[in-house]
Amino acid sequence: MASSSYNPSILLKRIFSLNETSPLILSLDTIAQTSKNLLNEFVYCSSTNKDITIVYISFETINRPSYATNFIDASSLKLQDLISTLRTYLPSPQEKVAGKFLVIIDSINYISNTNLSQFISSIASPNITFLVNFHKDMPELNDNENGIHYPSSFELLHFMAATILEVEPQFSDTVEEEDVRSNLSKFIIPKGMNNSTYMLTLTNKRKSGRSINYQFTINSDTHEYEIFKDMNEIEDNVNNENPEALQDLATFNLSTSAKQKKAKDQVELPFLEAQSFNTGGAIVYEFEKDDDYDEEDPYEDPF
Amino acid sequence: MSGLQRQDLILFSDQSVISSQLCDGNSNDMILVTHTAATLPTWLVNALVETKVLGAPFSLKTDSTPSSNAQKSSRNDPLITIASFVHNADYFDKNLSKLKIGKNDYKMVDLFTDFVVNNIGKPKDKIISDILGSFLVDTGSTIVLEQPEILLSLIEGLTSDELSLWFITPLMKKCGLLIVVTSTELYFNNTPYESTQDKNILDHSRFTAACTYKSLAVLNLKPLETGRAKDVTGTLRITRGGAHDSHPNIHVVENEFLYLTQKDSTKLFYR
Repeated sequence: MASSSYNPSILLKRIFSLNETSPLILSLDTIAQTSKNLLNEFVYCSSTNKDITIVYISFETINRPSYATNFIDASSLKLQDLISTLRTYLPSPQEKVAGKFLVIIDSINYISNTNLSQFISSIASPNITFLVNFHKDMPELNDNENGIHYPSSFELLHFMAATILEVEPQFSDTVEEEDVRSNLSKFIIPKGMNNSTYMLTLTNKRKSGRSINYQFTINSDTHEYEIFKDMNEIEDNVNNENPEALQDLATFNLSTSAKQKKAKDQVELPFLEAQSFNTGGAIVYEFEKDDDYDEEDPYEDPF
Repeated sequence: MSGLQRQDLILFSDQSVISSQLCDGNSNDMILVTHTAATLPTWLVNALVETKVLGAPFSLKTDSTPSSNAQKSSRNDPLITIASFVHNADYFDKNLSKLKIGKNDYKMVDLFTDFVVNNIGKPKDKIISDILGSFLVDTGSTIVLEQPEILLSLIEGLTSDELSLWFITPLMKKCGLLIVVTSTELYFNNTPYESTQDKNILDHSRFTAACTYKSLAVLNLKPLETGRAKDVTGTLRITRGGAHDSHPNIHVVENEFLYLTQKDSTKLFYR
């Protein structure tokens, strides 16, 4: 399936070094494993590229990281002031610039759900990659300004992000995961959390609309990324064909060749065009000669 | 318990309780102390104050006494400020005098006495800025802040984000090390905060989470899971916080101790 054409470790390195096109990268963490080490991987992998400008927007971090080209302390800024400050460090969408810009937001939980999409859209631009950190275990206070059915910040970011990186601690065999989660919900942090070796789940949304998922073990000290689980293969095994089982069942070929699988991956599904929002929502109605149109009936007007 | 060997308290890899690298004027850090009603942190706060004033937590040490080894700072200004929403100045004066720490060795900001009477009717931003005004800017100093989460109940309309961004962050900028002492009693016996819609619980847990993400180390005091025991009061667990990597030369040494508090003394034992 989709996984067949990508080497997971190379894909991850491309994401870390900002060579994979992804305007919004969402990093998900918890108090058990914060994304500080993950941010360092981005810095480590992109350090060879001298043309990268790192703008660090901080709601949480007081001490300016040494790798930040520009540091914005957002804790005392109103949203509009933050946007205008940020714009002074970034090129305008029309401007052509040679280098790349990485904007790290630590963390986006402090931007209210009501303003979230407006904030992202107002500063998005080509050449800029946003690395947005979101704490999954920080409960969201829903002000319901946009209505009770408006998606949560987590859902919005999940939808908008092209790449999602979720960090989790690596549990040893002797530790009961359920006990750890129960303790964490009481803010009792077990020993061995926030380690330099941790699990990373990568979700990468392809242009075709498919998303590919891998789980890695990351060692931040040695910068080694080891594939732990190819979640696409697991999914394929559960849902899809087993070529051996399909043999000799019929006089024609039921299985799919590698070439056919690749072609199938590259098909752009019809709903993707509907998501581009190019056509708007106009109702196109043409009268025909037999149509009976009553001008005095307000409900009759098809427009 | 008497057969077990007593242990000394160590938080950082340079064998210190509060590393000298934390208050060097170049960084602003936080340590979070969490506790429940059954495991009050008075002894631990005293030990941290003692460390700043006398150089080591002699009240917990196995082989030293303050009179023989204490090395007071030569600074004129106190190295530590204590601010509390749950105890008044007399409480700390009484406790610390037993450890041979005089009133001039620390600065006390009493946020407990008449807090509501003094602030009733004031806008929330004014109350917060008035509290902040009680602290001097000194990046070489340490501030101990007891139970700031009480402000969520005392100030009408104050949200957890406002408490974090308007109060905790500016206070961190005023000192080298901020030690926040907070109660986790709310989550201890109730349903997990993930499954509640109670705005108060959500606000409190959001604040506690925000503090955890900002902290270098988390010191958790919790009672025994098996109930009461005559020879153990609870456990002290030292773990890394969300900002654990902000000092490359030192790291938090994770550890877990059993402790026993009797009258005026506390003993630590390795678990």
